[in-house]
Amino acid sequence: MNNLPGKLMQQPFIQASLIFMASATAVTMAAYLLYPLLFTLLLSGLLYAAMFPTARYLTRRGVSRTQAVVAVMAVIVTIVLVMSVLLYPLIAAQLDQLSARTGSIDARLTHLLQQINELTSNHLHISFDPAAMAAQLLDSVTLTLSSLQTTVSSYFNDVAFSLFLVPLITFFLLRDFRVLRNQTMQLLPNRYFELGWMIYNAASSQLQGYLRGISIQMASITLICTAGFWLAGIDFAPLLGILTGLLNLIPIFGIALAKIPPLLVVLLSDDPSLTSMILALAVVFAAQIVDTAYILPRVIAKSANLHPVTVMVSVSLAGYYFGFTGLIAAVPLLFSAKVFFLELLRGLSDFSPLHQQRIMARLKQSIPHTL
Amino acid sequence: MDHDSDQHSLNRIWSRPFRKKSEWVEEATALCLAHCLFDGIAERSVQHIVSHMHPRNYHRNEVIFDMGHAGASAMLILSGEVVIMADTVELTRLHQGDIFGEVALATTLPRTAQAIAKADSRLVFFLRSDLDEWIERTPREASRFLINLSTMLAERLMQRNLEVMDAAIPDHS
Repeated sequence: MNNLPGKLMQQPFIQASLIFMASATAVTMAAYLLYPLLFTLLLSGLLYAAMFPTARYLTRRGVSRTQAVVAVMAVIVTIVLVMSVLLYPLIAAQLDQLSARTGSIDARLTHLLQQINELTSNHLHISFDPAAMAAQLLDSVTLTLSSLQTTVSSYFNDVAFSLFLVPLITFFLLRDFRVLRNQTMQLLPNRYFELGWMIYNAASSQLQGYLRGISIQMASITLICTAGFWLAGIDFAPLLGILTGLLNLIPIFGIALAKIPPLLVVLLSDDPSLTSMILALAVVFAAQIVDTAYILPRVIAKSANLHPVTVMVSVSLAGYYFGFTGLIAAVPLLFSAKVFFLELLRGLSDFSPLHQQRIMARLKQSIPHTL
Repeated sequence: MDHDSDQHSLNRIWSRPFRKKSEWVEEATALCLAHCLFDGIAERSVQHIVSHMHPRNYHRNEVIFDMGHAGASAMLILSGEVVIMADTVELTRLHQGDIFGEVALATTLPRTAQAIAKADSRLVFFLRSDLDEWIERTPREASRFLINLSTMLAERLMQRNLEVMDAAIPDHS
């Protein structure tokens, strides 16, 4: 009875939970201290996961590590520069334009509701007062647009600030991460050295695959939507494409959230017709079909296997506390935590006295003459 | 003189905080080249592989790994002495230049024996993940290593079979 705490501490689940909580606390403290650079570091980590296979492929082909990293970085810097020169001024101008249009939202909304009223009274014999409904909707829509514009503007300002630091951090991650990782693992006590490496290898291969998958998913949806919006003649195609690509990363919520920005833009356009709204929805819908049918099964598969309630709660809380970045980062962080905990539990179970006794018994049964 | 030395160390830390300490690499490379597991593999490749290994220090009587635990690496003895035990039976004693735990490079099965440092020892760990990377990078050289590993394990099995036969038929030899 007196030995109960000691016995409990030997349970792999208790050990894994304690180590997980200690690690989570350390990561939270580090995130708090590094908050001004958090977005930059996350973006660098994402780029590192996406570019690492290319750098590794080049080193396998006989190119030195530094040359491989420089080659990969040249591609990243070129893309970043092209985006900065071409895309950023366009997006900034479009955001200003979008903001200016919110001033005339009442007239646009009334015009759209009149169209809907005509349609419903002709075909469904249902009518309403467009002006009254426009007035009712105006307050909430204006509030939503204002907050969306502020959030998106600050998000893209963060991206613009990060454009200078991200390539630099990614370069050093690609070149020195291995040495940094090995030196960190050397801090483990002898007893946990092999176990630490087993947990790290199992968790990192899953996480790298997942991060690479969501990078490909985001880029594909962004490209499909940008091209679709442009072909459908919807304004702000690049901005909407990027937003849809980002929002689509959120499981469950993403499929609905990704449809809101194009609808709002159509609502604020010079000609907020029903056809444009249907076209905007069709583009997002088509991109999501491609995502579900081709991209998800091939690049992400079942990796992000999280319970819907867990996703809903974490996305809601992360969005409430950390805004747009929290909304996007919630599921990848939750998935990382899940992988880390499960691998920790599996590793500690493989090293538990109970597991050892079971293996010894099996060995004695199979080769009795050796023992 | 001491001040210069400190200054030199400080500069090294400042300039490359994660610089790999390579003093042991030359020694470990020479020991690997002399071992049958690395037969037929170019010295440059062995040096490259060794530079990715992980040195660790063990005190006298410290357990290196336990029987039945999961294993992820083989170990090269840089200095010291290691005893391999099965239950309470001492199977063998190993010294500088010997490699043990190599079964973990071939399979994910649990360790089949216990290893204990019998003197203060310095070991170099060769992880299965390092071997996997080697296989991906230079498959031809890595397959040479795997053939050597298979030969070593097959020879051990043959030896074991002979021992069993000797025990079963006393006048066999």
